[in-house]
Amino acid sequence: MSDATRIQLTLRDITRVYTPNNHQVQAVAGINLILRQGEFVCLAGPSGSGKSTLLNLIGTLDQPSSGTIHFDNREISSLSRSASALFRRSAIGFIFQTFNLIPVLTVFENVEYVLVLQGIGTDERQTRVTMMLAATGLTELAQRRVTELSGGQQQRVAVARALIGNPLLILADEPTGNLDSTSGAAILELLHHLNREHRTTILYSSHDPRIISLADRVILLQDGKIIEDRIQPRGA
Amino acid sequence: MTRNLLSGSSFSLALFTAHLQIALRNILRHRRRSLLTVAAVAFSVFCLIVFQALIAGLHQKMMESALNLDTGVIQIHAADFNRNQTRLLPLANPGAIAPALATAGITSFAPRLKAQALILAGRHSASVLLSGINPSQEATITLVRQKTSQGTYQLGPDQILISKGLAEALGLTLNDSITLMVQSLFGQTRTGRFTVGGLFATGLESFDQSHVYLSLTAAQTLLEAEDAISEMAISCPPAQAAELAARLQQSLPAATYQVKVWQELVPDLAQLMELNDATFRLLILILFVIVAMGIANTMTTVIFERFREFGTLTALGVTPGGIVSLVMTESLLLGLFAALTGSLAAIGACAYLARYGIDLTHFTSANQYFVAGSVLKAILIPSDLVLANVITLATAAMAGLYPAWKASRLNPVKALSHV
Repeated sequence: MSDATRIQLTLRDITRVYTPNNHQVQAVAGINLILRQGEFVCLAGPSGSGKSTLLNLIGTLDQPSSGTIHFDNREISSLSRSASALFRRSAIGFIFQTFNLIPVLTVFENVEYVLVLQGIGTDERQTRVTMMLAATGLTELAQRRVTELSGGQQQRVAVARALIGNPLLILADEPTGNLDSTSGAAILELLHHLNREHRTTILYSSHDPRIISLADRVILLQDGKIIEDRIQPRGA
Repeated sequence: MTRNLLSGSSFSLALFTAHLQIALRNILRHRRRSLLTVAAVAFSVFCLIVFQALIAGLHQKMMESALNLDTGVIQIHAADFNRNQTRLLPLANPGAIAPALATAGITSFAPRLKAQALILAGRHSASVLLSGINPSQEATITLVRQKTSQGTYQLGPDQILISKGLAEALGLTLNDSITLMVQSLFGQTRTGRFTVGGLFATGLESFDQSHVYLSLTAAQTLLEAEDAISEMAISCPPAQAAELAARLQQSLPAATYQVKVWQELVPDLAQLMELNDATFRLLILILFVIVAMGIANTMTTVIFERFREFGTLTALGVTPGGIVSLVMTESLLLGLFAALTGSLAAIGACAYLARYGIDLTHFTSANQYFVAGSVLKAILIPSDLVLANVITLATAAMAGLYPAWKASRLNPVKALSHV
C-alpha cells in the first residue's frame, strides 16, 4: 500500500463525557474517523462543537470515555501517562492557539528541546534546528527569547517546534486563532508546504472560513458529532 | 518506514542539561522570590553551621575544664577500685603500667597517690582529698600549675599546695605550717607537718576547698605506701580515649587493673554533652522543617504559575519522571545556592568566632565547665560543614518532592488551558 492511501489513524465510536459540577456533558459523541498518511485536514465547527476535545484525544492528552483510537495499528487510547508521553514525543507535533513556548528559552532552544527529548546528538541537533529555522524564516531570531517575539513569529516557532522531530501527525488547535489574517494565512501556507514536502499528516481545527478553505479535507463537527466529511479543492 | 512509537527514555545527560538551564533561568526570572527563599534557607544553613561550631567549641571547653581540672581523659586503677571508696587502694605492680603506656603510644601521664585527709591549722580544720603528685608529670594532665598564682607548684618534701580559698578559710598564708592527718595504708592514723608552699585558685570554689597536693614521695611517706600509687591519669585527645583505653586494657590484665575513659569517670559531663546534642538536633529539626515549608511553598507557587508550561512539556512528550526531575532540579538549585551562601557566611563567622570567641562571663556563673576560661570559641569541623550542606540539599529535595509529584500528575488538557 502506498503512503498516500495508508491508513494512519482510526477512531471507532469515540465518546468523551465530562461531569463538571456533577453535570454530564458529552463533548464527543460516537465519532468514527479514518485519516490517511499525508492528508491535510481541517476540523471545522463552532465553539463547543468538540474540535479541541477530539484533537486532545487523538494526541493522547486525554482518554475517551469509550471507543478506541488506533495509530499505525497500535491502540493509543488507553496508554499510561509515561507511554503516552513517549508516543507524543515520537509521533505527534502540537501547535496551540496560544503558542505555548517555553518562555525562558530562546527560539533555537525551544525548537531544539524536542530533539533533546528524542535523544538526538548535539551535532545533528544543531544542523536540523538551523535548517528548520531557515525553512520557517526564523534564522535571524534564533537567539532571541520567545517572549520578545510578535504573535506571528511565536507561532512560526511553534510550527518549527512541531515539525523538528519529524512527527507522523501534526495536531494544530486553532493555530491562527491569535494571529491577524495575514500571519494566519502565512502559517497555514507554511504548514501546507511542509505537508506536501514531507508527507506529514496535518489535522488542524478552525472556525474561520478562510482558514477552513485552505484544507484538502474538511470534517465538520457539531455537538460532538461529525455532520459532514468532505474532500475539497484548495481555496474552496 | 516503521517507527517504534513508544521508545525513548525519561533521562539523558542532554535532557538533564536542558532542564538545568530551564530551572536556572526560571530562578533568575523571579529574582526577588528566589532571593527571599535562598536568603531564608541560607540563614538556616548559617545558623546550623555556626551553632554546630559553637557547640563543638563549648564541648571542647567543657572537656578541657572538667578533664583538666583533675580527671584526665583516661585513668588506670586497681581492679576493685570504686570512686566512692575512702580506703587507700594502691595499684599492684605499678612498674607494669609504663611499658603498657609506651606500647599504646601514650606520652602524657601522671602517677598519683590519693587519700582522704584532715588538714589542721590552729583551731581550724577541713576535710580534704590529698593528692600525691609528680609536679612535672601532673602539669601535662591538669591546669592546677597554671592556676598557681603564689609560691611554687614544684613542691619540696615538706611543702603542701592548697587553694587560696582554703587558705583564707583556715587563716593561712604562704609558708604557714599545717598538720595533715591521714589513715595510712595499714590503717593507722598518721600525721605530718607541712608548710604552705603554693596557693592556687581555679575559680571553682567546691574544688578549691577540697583539694590539696603533696609531692608523690611526701604522700607515699605520710601514707606509709612506699613506691605505691593509687591512680594513673592519662591525657590524650578525648576522641581517641576509647581506642587507647582498649589498647591499654589489652596490655593490662582486667583482673588487676581497670582502665576507664572520661565518659565513665565524669558521666555527668558526657550526659550533659549528649543533652546538648539532643537539644541541638531538635532545634535543627524545627529549623529545617521551616526551611522545607519555605521551599515547598516557593515550589508550589512555581508549579501554580507554570501550569501551562508543564502542560506544554507533557504535550511535547516529557514523561512524568521528566517533569519530576525538572521541578526537583529547580528545588535542588535553590537549596544549592542557599547552602553555598549560608556556608560561606558561616565559614566567615566561624573564623571570627574561632579567633575572638564570645565571652560568657556575663552569661554564666563559675562552674566546673569553664575553669579553663570563659571565652567560648567556635570549632568548625569539616565533616559538620559537609553534613550541614547534605542536610540542606536533602531538605530541598524532600521539599521539592511533593510539588514535583503534583506537577507530574497535572491533567495536560487542564494545564494547557490554564490562564
